[in-house]
Amino acid sequence: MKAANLVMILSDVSVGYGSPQIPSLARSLGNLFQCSSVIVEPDQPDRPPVDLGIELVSLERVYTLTHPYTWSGHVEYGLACAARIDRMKPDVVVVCAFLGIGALAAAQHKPRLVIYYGIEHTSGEMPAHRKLFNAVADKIDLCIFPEENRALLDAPRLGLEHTPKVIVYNASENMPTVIPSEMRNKRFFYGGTIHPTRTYADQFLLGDLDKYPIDLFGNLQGFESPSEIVTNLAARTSNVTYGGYLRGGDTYLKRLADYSFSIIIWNPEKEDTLYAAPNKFFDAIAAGVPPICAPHPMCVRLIERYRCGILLDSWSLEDMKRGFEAALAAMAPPRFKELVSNCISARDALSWSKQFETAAGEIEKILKQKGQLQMLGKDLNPEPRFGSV
Amino acid sequence: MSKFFVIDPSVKGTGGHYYEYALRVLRAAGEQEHTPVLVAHRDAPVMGDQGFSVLRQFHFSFFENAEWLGADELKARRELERQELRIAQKERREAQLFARRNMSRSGLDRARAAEIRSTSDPAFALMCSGWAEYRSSPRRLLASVAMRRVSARFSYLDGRLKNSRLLNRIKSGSSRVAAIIGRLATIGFRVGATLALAPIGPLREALAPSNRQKIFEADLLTSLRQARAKAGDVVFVPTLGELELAGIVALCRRVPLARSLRWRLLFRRNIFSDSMASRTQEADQPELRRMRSLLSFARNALRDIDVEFFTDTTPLSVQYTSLGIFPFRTAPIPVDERFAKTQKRRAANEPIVFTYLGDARTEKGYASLPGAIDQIAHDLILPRRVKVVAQSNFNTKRGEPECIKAHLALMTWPQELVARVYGPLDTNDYVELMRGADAVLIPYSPANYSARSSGVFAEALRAGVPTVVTGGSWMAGILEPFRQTHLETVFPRLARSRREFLRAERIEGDRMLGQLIEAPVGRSTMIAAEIHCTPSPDYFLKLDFDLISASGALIGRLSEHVGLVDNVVRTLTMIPPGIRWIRAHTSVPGSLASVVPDRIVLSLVNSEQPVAVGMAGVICDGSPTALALAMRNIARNFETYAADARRLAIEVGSGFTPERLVEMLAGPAAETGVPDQSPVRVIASKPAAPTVTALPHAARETLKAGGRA
Repeated sequence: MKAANLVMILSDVSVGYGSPQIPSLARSLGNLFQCSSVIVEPDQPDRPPVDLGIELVSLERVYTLTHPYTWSGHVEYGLACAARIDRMKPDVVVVCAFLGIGALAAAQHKPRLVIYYGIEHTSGEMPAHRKLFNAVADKIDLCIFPEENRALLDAPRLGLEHTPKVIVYNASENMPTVIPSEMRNKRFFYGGTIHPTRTYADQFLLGDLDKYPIDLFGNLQGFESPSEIVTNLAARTSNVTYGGYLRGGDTYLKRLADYSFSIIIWNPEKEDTLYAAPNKFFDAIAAGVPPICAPHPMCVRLIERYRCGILLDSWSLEDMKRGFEAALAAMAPPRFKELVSNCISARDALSWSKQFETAAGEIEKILKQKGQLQMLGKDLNPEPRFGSV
Repeated sequence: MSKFFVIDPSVKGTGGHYYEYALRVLRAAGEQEHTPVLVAHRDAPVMGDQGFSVLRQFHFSFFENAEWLGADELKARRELERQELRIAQKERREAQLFARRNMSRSGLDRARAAEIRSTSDPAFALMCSGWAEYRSSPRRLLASVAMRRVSARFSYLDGRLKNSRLLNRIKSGSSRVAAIIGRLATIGFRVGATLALAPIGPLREALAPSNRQKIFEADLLTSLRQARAKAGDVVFVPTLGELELAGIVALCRRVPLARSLRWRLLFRRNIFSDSMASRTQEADQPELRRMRSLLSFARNALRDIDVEFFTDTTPLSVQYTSLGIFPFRTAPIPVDERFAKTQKRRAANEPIVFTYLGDARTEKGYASLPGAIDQIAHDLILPRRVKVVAQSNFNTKRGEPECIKAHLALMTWPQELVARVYGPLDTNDYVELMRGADAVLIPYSPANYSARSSGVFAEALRAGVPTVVTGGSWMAGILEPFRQTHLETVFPRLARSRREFLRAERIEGDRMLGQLIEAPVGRSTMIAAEIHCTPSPDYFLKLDFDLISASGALIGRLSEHVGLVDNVVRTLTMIPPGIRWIRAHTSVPGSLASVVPDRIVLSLVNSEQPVAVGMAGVICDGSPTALALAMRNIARNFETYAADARRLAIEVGSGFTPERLVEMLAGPAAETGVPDQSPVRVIASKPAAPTVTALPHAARETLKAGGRA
């Protein structure tokens, strides 16, 4: 048997627009198996292909006749991915939630290791996708989830209850230079979707939080007249500003690094927003910017663990104001310096490489069970073990 | 030279708890000039020369027999499992059909046809063009579109047909006929099959015993005969339940050889859920009635036979003896000698390693680990002053939900800070894991472990490693006298920094139990409690401290279970940071217990100096907060705890040896505690070998005499 020949990642989004974990995973798996990786991505019309610039990681886009998020687009993408699996015969296939799963059902080639990367969450919806998962669940060797509760809720729905699981946070691989605490602009950063209810943009934009120094970046969604709202901000000399859409990557992180705090909040109306595993949390940590977080369980756990930010008691406007007041009070030097330094220690522990180590350990365990350790360039150790403790 | 039999049908391999236990006992028996013989399960592998003979005889293990005894429950559970499996398989088949239907070229055509309105839709031309990676055939697409249109046009018919009386009558009539035919066919098949197989049943009945008890009895007799057992040989059964006891009794009634042997029977499961409190309520439960009847039957049947009953903890012996039928003695837990060897030396800059060993089970407190670790993350884990190692072995395929959640949470830590150790370990790896531990976490549920023993605790004690145990458990019962000795010396040192906030006297009646008082914490770091009472070692007093934040919110509760082992008992409870107020409650676990202390004095301690709250270990309530506080206290006072644990290893842990166990089993039967009406013959009057449970008190006296600072 030879070592792994190729890692194929079936992405569910066009990469380079906010899912940095997918290229990171491709690179890390390639390093682990000492082979090249290919990311197969669907064609989201609003997201032209990008040059990843990562050595040994290539990108292949599948152009479908209909949008990949329609059912026919999904089927076509699945068939196209299956054809690529059969043609390239990769040893390792990673299916990212949820588009690529059809490929596993249709492909003839059996990869030596199949990983499901649950980067998105069903929230108990998506019956057709769940059925497809249930059909191929026994082909999946390992599940990677970005949040514990998501793993507990989604795995049984997808027929993956007994499949080994590992938690890999949506950590950032980019580590921008941390701006010293005394040189921060003493403002709050908000980056991401700006929606009246889903991200409480009503409260940010319609005057409730005017006195707080908040800069919003992202796409305005769900507003009837976005331009009017932005004009009104200036007209009433609100302390809240809108800075337009900021593309992910270095530019985003550099901008973020200037700020004193970063706001992370989702309306917990659905499972995926309650058990949020937002990139922006990890971006903030990577940039050394203490986050102000609503009590999403993962944020609670990590902020309590690293003491690197401010936790709101709830999602209410009153608690949001209390949290912002606490953040303003915490901008004083000793406390803020401590927060930043805690962020720096958190960013080391929450770096992508540290997160991937856990997954690599699980992969090794699974390959050992399957008797395929040679995929990692290691000798087989078939010694049986007896007993329990 | 007499033979020493270890009868353990649960030994199925050369590893695991049952094998290890038997191995230690057999080796010790060999050293004491007995001829050791192991009688194991017939699935056990052929073992090389281990220094003892092995007979592979038993058809069923202890657990399989216990399951058979609860057959109805087992049947119901298996049926439920079968149903779940059937549903899952059906769903899986449907899902696979769905995948085959949809993830194909025809599925793609159907999906496309559903998304275009008509052939004039521009997408139609695109789908049929040659540019697509998957081009649809215009004919198939058209057919699909046409089919959809036709079915849409006649969809009203579907409703009409469903509501048609005539059709419904035909349908229900035909289904009834089909059901009757089906039933007749089933009956015919069953009758035919019964007739065809009729001779086999009685034949099998005649050839083999029909129930598990008889099978056990037959296996036991065969093995004793094969090993040429003779009068005076010791037969030790280290794990047994009702079925095995009934089998032994029946064997002794009918086989003279069995009557001439020396039976030593060890029970390990608790029969009451609590050590003392709920005994009266539970005494009339059917399970206990059955046990009483069986023991009473055994008493009559085992007249003039050398039989002794054991458990492996004092509370368990008290439970069984309280039935008033046989006296039960406490046998030491045989701990491997390798645990007693020096622990690995820890360099000053190395983190203190807290280790959790054993299965990942809720009753073992595994689910509390992530919360506790998070609470010490900032000051102990991240600065690498403490490391946690958690054995994460799920003993069932599914695992318990809380433990799976906890395991996923533990996985979010880098391995070098919080290490997970997987799978059942072989003996060498397990010993290495214990030797690498600086302290052992044993946060077992006191409800399940109030009387049951913990092998891990015995091993930690033997290894001289500090432990964190839960109040109200058997483990806490061992540590309690030492904690009291320690606090007796600590309290005077804290006199200056103590601020008394409650002094409740018994004369005030209801103030003694229930809510006591609320007090502002200020800068205090600990709560000191002093309870004056009549010593009642079997009882606990429970002190609860509600933790209240500055905003008045109740954010947690810490509990102290203190064993009433002396006239004055004391506790020191650490207060977590961020607490503004505490509210104290007292209670006695178990509704019928009536232990009211004479006086309770509660004080807040404002002391920054490190103070160990226990000796050789911390007794806490097992909650994440309490576990975190315990780890923090051990980390701050590690040298003190480690030194004390090493002393305890000599004073107490040395009692946990296989040699001592074999001496006890092979020695003459004890005289103490035998009820007057017991017909069990007492062979000699030589005093019993000291049991480990008697040692803590002796050791405590030694420590007191030594003036421990």
